[in-house]
Amino acid sequence: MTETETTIAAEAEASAPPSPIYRLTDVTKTYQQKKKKVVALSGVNLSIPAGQLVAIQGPTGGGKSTLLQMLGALDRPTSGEVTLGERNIAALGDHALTDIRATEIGFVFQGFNLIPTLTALENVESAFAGSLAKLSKDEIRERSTAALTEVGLAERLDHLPAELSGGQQQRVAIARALVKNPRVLLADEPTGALDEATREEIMTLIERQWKDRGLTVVIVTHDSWVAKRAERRLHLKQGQVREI
Amino acid sequence: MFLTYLRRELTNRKKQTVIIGIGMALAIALVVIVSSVSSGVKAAQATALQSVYGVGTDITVTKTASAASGGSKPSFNFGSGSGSTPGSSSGQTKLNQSRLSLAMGSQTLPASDVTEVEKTAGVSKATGVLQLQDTDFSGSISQSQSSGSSGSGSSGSGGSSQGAPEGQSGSSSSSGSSGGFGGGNFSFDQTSVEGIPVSGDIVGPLTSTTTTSGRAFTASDSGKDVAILDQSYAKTNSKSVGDTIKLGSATFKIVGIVSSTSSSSSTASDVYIPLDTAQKLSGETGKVTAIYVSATSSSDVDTIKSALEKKMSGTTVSTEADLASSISGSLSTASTLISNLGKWLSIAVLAAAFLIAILFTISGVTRRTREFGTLKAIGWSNGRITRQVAGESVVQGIIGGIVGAAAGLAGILVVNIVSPTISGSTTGTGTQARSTAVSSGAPGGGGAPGFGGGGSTTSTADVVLHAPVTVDIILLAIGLSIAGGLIAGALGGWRASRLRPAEALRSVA
Repeated sequence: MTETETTIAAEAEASAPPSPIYRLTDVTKTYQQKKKKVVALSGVNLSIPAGQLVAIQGPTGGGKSTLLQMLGALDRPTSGEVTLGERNIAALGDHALTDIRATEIGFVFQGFNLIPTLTALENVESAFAGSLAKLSKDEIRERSTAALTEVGLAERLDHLPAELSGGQQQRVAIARALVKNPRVLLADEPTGALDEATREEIMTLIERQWKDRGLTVVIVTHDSWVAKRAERRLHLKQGQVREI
Repeated sequence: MFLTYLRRELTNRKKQTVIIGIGMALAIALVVIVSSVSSGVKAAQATALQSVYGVGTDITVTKTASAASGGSKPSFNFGSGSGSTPGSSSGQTKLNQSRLSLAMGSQTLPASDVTEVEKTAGVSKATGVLQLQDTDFSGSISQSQSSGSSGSGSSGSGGSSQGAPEGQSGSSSSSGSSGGFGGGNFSFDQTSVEGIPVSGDIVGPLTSTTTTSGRAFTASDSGKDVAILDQSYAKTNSKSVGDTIKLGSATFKIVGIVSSTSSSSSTASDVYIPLDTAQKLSGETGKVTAIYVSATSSSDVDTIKSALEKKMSGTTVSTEADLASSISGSLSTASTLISNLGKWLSIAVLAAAFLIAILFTISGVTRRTREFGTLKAIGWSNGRITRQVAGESVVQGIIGGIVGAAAGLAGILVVNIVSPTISGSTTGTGTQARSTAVSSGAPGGGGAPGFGGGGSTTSTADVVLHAPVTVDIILLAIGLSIAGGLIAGALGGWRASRLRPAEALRSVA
């Protein structure tokens, strides 16, 4: 079995192994950059069981972000299948992908990506999209307040992002990602813009949510300290994935 | 969320909101002022025309003017017995003649043409009028006393008259038969007289008037020597209902006084008399000088004009638009200014404002790439993002529109407070207009009578420019501002919706 063909199975539980939430089958993604064809992912086969905390490492340009886009229903593969639960993302239309992002996936970004003109509470409320946007205003407000309280920002509801520290902003971003009770949390360098103390706080928070909610968490990181805290580590290089 | 986000964006990106708002406000204010003043100028044109043609006249039909024809220049001839000398010692002979003839420049059409016009498809009503002028020459001449001639003698009616005999003062007496000409003093008055149908006038000169005293003509006035006077003419000549007025050889009883309902100071003519009376006195039996036509629908005017031109050769058919083009003076200048400079300036500023709004919106979207990418990543649909961007632009447009409308209304208020008076002159078309010329000659020579320009008639109306504020203008302002916002928002939203959601992640990859 070659490295590229390696199917990485979930670590089996003693009794019954959990069903995979993600299954990538022979996924290839190519881009046309000017006149040059760039292969971002090359025949990736990967299975991620539900409830796993996975860290993906690798050099810049190795395909980490492209893989995260596939997992996050932000893009479709050039060839192959990306299955989330029972649905093949590659075969779904834009509307269905938008709904998946709105209800099943939570994103956390390196730069926090909060809306600068909205308060912390309003930023969290902005996560109610797609079918969740139909919830009552009161319920949206209640759930958003609870999410911010859970990340320790009950006193900062009406603060604008600029009035919050980097760690607090990332907490707001985590609350925004989790307020819709997603099945998956995808984090792109979540501690990349934070100092060491704050990095610890954020990772502790993510780990707590992962355990409490039974989330599937995929973290893309350059930071080995962060990667080591994951259950499983993958290395992505030149479009190919291997287990560490 | 939509309103909260919108409010936050507008208040936190004040610079962009203010710049788009100011641009839009400037354009809307200009459009509002130009539209309003344009309406005011149109109303002023209508007023200037109404003072001559009356309300509801869509078309006028007149005989095409030719150089050699038209109302003749009145001439007065006095024979030796044409004057009267009150006393033998005064040495003065008084002369007075009055003639009622076709107005200068007027030519006649057969009255049967009125019926012909009325039969034309699309014509609602046609009225024929006869435009005349009463020319009154009066004055006195002095005779120098010569030695050896004394005493008084009475002369018979030996004077010769080349003009129409009516109105000539026939009796005279003179003192001194051999004296030289010792100077004179003459006045020459012209009064515009219009013969109009006595039946209710739904089109024609009296439709823009109101009866201030007395009454209007009734069917029983047909053929009678009764007259209705223009109020300002009556005031100038100290005439009131019940008095009489001499026109040509006849004496008319004044039965009514009318004033203009428009802001024009006077009506089309000084005196109105029954049409058949006018025809009889002027020797123009069965003739009219102009036919006023009212169309069933304003959209038919051009069709009716073509039909009449084909049917009635040798006539000039003028529509209201043709008549408006005959207006000259500062009113014409204002109209040209509004229709050219005002219109193009409005379009240019509006286009610039729209462009500013579009560029700022698109530039704002570009700056917010990561923001929109993030929203897409967390599940916002393209439609929701487009609506958000478009909503922001529309509100910016509306803010600009409201400020612009307020500024525009303030501008209109200034125009109305200043109330500039503009003067409109209508010329040509063979229609009679008012003119009164008085001249007096110094002793020793006769004064030149003040005739108007040969063949053409002129009516001048001073109209106070009023810039109206109408619902249409307010709706136009709001509509334009919303349109500007929508165009900018649609383009900005379209650009935002084209952003790939992966942009948000790529920026940190």
